[in-house]
Amino acid sequence: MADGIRDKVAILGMGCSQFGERWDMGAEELMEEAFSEALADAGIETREIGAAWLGSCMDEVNIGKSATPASLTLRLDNIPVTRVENYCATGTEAFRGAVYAVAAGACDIALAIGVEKLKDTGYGGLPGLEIGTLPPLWWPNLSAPGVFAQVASAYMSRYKVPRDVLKRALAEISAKSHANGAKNPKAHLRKPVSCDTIMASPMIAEPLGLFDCCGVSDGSAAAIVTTPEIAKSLGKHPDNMVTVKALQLALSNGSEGGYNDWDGSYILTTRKAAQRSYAEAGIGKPREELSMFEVHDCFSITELVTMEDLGLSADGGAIKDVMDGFYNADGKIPCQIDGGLKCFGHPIGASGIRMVYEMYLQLQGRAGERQLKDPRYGLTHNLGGFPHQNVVGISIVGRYR
Amino acid sequence: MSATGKPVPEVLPDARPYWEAAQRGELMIQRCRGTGKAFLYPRRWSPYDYSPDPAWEKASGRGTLYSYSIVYQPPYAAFKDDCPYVLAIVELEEGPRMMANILNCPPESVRIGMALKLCFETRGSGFRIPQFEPA
Repeated sequence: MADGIRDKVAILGMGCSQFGERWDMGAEELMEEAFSEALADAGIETREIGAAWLGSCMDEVNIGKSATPASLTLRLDNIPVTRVENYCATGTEAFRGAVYAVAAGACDIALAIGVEKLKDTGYGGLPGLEIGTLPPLWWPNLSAPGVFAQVASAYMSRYKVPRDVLKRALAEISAKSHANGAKNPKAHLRKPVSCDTIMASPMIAEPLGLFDCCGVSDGSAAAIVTTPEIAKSLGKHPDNMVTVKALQLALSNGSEGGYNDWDGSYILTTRKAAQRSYAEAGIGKPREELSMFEVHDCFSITELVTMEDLGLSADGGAIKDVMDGFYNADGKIPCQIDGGLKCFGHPIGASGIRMVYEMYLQLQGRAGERQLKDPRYGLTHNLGGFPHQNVVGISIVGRYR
Repeated sequence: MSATGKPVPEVLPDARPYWEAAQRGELMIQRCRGTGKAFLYPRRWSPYDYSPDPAWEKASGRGTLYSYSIVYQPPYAAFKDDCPYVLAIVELEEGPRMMANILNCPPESVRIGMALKLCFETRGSGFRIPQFEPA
């Protein structure tokens, strides 16, 4: 049994662009915005980076298929650079590449950078994705809100939840993220929204309304990682160091969508990745030990079931926790303290790294108006694809000591 | 894409029996020779035990509604005139579940567990896609 990557890799520096409608900038300028902040934070020169991973999933117009846009834009030192894509877990996948490279001893310092410009696509949600030739056999008139709304139907059916009760809890989830995002200068949407407004918004796919769906944005985020020893040699103090505790990925194997062993009320891969993440991080009781988390709130129902899939709420218990304020900024385990996808939107390649960025700031006491009291562990979660066929990436970061 | 803009499936060799049956007004499913379990979507091996050449059989066309949502905003403009429409998971009498739209009934009358029967939607120049309607 491998002993995992806990505390083998430290975050040396991170950066995050302003998210939003960045009509004035191309993908290259967005990358530069995130990278320059990360480089200054790390206190190193570009030539000290030994390998890099670029996460970009949809942005064929600006980025294309290779990793050269990152290498050229950032003037990397002719190092290995790899472009990765894995649906909405793309950012986490880039981070995983850089972290694994350092953990393996393949290089001393590695970069993960993710970028996406979605507003250029002119589409209200995510642009069309090449999905191969088989799915059309069994995806008639499928929309992303439509399939995630089916999770809401299945959840209501499984736990005998009245529609009005679920709808209210979903509104609380979105209202909480908007309240948090309003305090974040880098968020796209920075306006508190009331539950009444959310519940009265136009229907997208029953029972999900407009405010149950996350935004569409442009953005970039970057992380520079190294070993704790090198970080110390570069002047970083162990008391203020953030290390990677776990990085896990789980993909559907077809059991949810094709073989009918699944009732649609939860995300199987999140449960698998969470179990492995907690084991790797040495976390035995996540509800007691986890300080904060950022989940893939593409839709409010996704956030609700993820609270249970991560083992933070009991099965069927997330609605009570949400209504009790357990996940609010002043609750026991704040969720989406930076505003989440709800307020940042979802430039796919950047999202996973953007989530780690917030955990990193919080763990170092640098989150400004949003700062939580003494956080120890932060978890980030990406769910790519659809409930019945997906990719889940989870990272856990925490204080070195 | 069809003249209406709605996508028409590409008929690949492994799924040809499925689509040819659909054009005749039938729904074909496959059954694993090793485990005896029926499954969708069409492929040339069993997803249960990887045994080759699963058997084809004609499904009864009867099923029940397992789960659904109602789509008010179309994924593509071509589906705009259908909105609101029901995106459903149908449990077939033979066991497998499939995603389909529930046609020929008001979305608000759809209920989990309701009896359904096979019907077809025609796209492009007459291509028929299996869908469901109240039994």
